[in-house]
Amino acid sequence: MSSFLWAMIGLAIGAAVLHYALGLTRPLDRTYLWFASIMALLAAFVYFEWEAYRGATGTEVAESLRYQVMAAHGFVAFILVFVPSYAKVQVPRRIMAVFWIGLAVLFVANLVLPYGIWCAREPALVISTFRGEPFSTIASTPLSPWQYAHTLYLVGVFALTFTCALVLVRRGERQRGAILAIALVIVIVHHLIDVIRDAVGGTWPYVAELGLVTWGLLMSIQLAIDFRVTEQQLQVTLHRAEQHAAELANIVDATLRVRDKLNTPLQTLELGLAMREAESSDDVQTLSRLRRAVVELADLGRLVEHDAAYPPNTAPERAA
Amino acid sequence: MMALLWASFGMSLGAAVLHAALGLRRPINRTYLLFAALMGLVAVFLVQQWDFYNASTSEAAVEATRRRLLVNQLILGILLVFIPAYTKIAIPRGVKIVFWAGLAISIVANLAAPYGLWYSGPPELVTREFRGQPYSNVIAPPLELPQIAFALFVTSLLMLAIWCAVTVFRRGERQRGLALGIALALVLVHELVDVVQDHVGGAWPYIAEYGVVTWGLIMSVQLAHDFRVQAHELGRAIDRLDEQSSHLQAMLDALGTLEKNMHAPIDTLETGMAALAGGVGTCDMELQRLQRAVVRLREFSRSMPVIGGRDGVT
Repeated sequence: MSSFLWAMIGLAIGAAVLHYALGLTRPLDRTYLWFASIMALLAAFVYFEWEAYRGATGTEVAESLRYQVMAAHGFVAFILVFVPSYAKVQVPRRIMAVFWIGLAVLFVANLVLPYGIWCAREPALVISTFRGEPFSTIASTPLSPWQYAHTLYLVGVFALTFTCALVLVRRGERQRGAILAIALVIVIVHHLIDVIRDAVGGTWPYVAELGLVTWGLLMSIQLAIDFRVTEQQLQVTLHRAEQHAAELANIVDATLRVRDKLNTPLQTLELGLAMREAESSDDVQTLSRLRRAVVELADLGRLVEHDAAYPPNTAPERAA
Repeated sequence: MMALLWASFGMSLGAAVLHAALGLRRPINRTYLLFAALMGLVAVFLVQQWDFYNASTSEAAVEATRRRLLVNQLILGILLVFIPAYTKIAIPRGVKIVFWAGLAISIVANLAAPYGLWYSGPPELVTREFRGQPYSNVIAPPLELPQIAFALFVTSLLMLAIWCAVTVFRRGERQRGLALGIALALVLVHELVDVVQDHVGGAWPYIAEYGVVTWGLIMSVQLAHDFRVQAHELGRAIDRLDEQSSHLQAMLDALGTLEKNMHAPIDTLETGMAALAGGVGTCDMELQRLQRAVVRLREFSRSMPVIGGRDGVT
């Protein structure tokens, strides 16, 4: 069992390191940083589980469980920022405030209660074995109001996460939503097994950490897949943008060639009209109109060079 | 030691699963798949190492070492494909053939030799302790030609990989080259410590596996980093193209304005020329030249490409 727990710790640390590396590359990606922190806290959670299994007295096990719950609270805090960020869902301010206050109260309660929030009174030590390896655990005690509040709070966090997963599915991001929901179901199932274990006085090891590590692994894979999807979308966008730019460049070239051809007759007209003298009063007016028309045409031609000389993104407004 | 070994196993397995998921997404990325296979084999290697530390007889230790070496050889085989794929360096055909042949011979030798390729004779099983935890180890017999040849083979393969890393560094991809070089140097140092440990009768546990795991972790981070850098570069390329398109669109808008507004002055020129021609004789050569210029203007205006209705890049 120890080897299994340490393998889970390694897996969580590996995922944490990888996602920190992903998140810390500039520009910083907060979603990956939150997830990396969740995985680091998950490693701490499993480590305290291992410590609890090695406890020599009920009080020692209760202390390890207190630290484990502290790691779980850190985990939940990062879940509260990671899930809305991952799902790109704006959770109402009031709901978030309730969750944060609830977490703060439970965190303090875990620190000040004599046996932490997990144990209502001094737990009795039970030595059990798993695949030939002895481990310490505690006999389950009846739930106190604190344990009920803690359980309700966790159910609330699960509900919030499920809602975000549903929003994702409805928005059309089915795979991302489904993975988030499936991973959560796995966590809940494992947690329920632990609740049943305590209720029936089972002596097998807790399995909640296995559910959490599975959740972490699934989310880690999904986040990695998101990266490849983003990369593919960027490739497609780049290809389209290249095609569009080439198309535009062709039209601009063709039009510029025609515009350049206008220059010779325009220069002929400019020069010819400037040198021509009016033979009657009607001619004065006509020549003046013709000169204005030539100037107008020359100005229109120059507008193209004017726009080409301006920095991109400012030219369209000027042309308009 | 148990904790470190199994934590390394979890790390390797996690990296294998993650990079397999990355590589298997279409279009399939071979570099990531090769790395996933490498990490999967590192996990198997660690399990074999665990078996070795739990061996109760000398024969069991020899068999565990034989299996461990086989996994090690498979890792070297994948490394021979992964390094050129990652560094994008074409290793000369002759060099590749030599390495593949060497690897094939070493695999056969490991399977056929009575004590595997790692030991020249029967090793002596000893029980040692590391941080209060007992584990089995062996006192290996002195090195003979096959063991020295294999050690040279592994060292030269790692040197080839380090040369690839140096080439990458000199090509300008400094961070990638440095990460690969440092990670490979760590593997080499750990391997050498094990060789020394075996042949001076050192009492500490093997550490080669941690060198490989550290290499895996560094490369895993570097591959993830490469992904972000690539995505960033793609984003920048799109931005540049977007700017270019905006620039072209601005020119096109101006040309559109020219196309739309040039007909009115040309009409004025045509009417004016007709009016001027009415009052003078046909022998006015200058006026004829101007009329021809107006006709050419009209022809060019008709040959302008249709521009209206085009949008910018979205």
